[in-house]
Amino acid sequence: MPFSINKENLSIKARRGDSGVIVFEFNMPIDNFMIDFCISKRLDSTSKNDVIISKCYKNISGNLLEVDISSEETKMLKIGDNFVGQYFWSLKLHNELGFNMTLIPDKFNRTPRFFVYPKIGECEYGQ
Amino acid sequence: MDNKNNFDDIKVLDVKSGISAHGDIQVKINDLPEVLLAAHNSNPNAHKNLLGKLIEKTEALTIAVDELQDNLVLADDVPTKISELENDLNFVSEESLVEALEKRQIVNLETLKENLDNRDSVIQNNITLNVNTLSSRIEEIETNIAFATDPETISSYSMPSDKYIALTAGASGASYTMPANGMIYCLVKCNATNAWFNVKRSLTGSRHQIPIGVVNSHAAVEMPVSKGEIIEITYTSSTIATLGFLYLNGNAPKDEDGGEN
Repeated sequence: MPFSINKENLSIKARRGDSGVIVFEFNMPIDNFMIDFCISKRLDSTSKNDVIISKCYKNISGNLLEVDISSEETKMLKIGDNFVGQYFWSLKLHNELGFNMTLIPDKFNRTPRFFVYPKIGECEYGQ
Repeated sequence: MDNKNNFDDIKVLDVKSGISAHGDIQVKINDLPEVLLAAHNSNPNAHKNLLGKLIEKTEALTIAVDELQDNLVLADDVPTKISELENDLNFVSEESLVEALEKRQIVNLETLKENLDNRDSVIQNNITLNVNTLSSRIEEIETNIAFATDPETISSYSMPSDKYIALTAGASGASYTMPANGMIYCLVKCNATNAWFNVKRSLTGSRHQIPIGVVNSHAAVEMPVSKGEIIEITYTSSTIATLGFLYLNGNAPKDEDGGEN
């Protein structure tokens, strides 16, 4: 099953064991920058232990970035109460000289949540 | 949380089926100068694309500014144009038109307005008058037709009327030119036993020739004549007592035209 993405509140929904690609379109080319995509347990991660999935993309060309999440990675996300696991995702722009800018969460008060649900018919929720 | 409902109300991104995912999440970088500076610091050649984009934007802005400046130049004429239009408006204002028309006495607006207001009744009156006139004229023509086709009337036109002109009798052999179609009347008194007289058409010589044997008796002739015809009257041993010209009924002058009874 693919992912479900709500562009208004930036929420992404997936089932454990599914894979998908999230495409980001930037308002300018981001050549020669690096992008970090992270899924963490808390919105403002203060500990590396909070980060569940972290992916760094280099050699980006143009203004598009495709973040692929594998089946194994979604299985790393656990289901909580009410058959849903709530996480947060973030997007950061940086380079080798120490430049670092958080693009998401942004200043528009949109909370980038990543919800994970059990796969249909699955009994083991990864808890 | 009702995860089922939440799951159904959002769009599905089917990456594996090949549906385009471009632009699925749009990320707006607001601190553009900071990013440009970072790009420049990391690699001066790395921000070539960014610089190209900026140059394109700058050129587009320059063109837009030029167009705006052209529009501003055109806008300088706007007050003049407005002034000209105002002048034109004054020139063609209702007051000026009325004044001009009244000065030239081309149109009396009050009369025109009154005529316009009364046009229906005026037209109706004219129609009624014309219809009445036509009806009267038709009746007159019908009367004339009836009159002109009456045999008694037509035959009476060639009969002598009671209108006549007294002619001055001349000496024997004198000629008289007839003023119109009509009759010449000549009454002669006998002075001796061998008296006679004749009334003759000069052109043809046809005549009435009358002998009168009894002294102091009279004899008379009434002969039809044509307009312009010359009549010659000759007499001997007698005297013309009465000489006159009688009009016909068809051409007899009316009393006011000088006819005599």
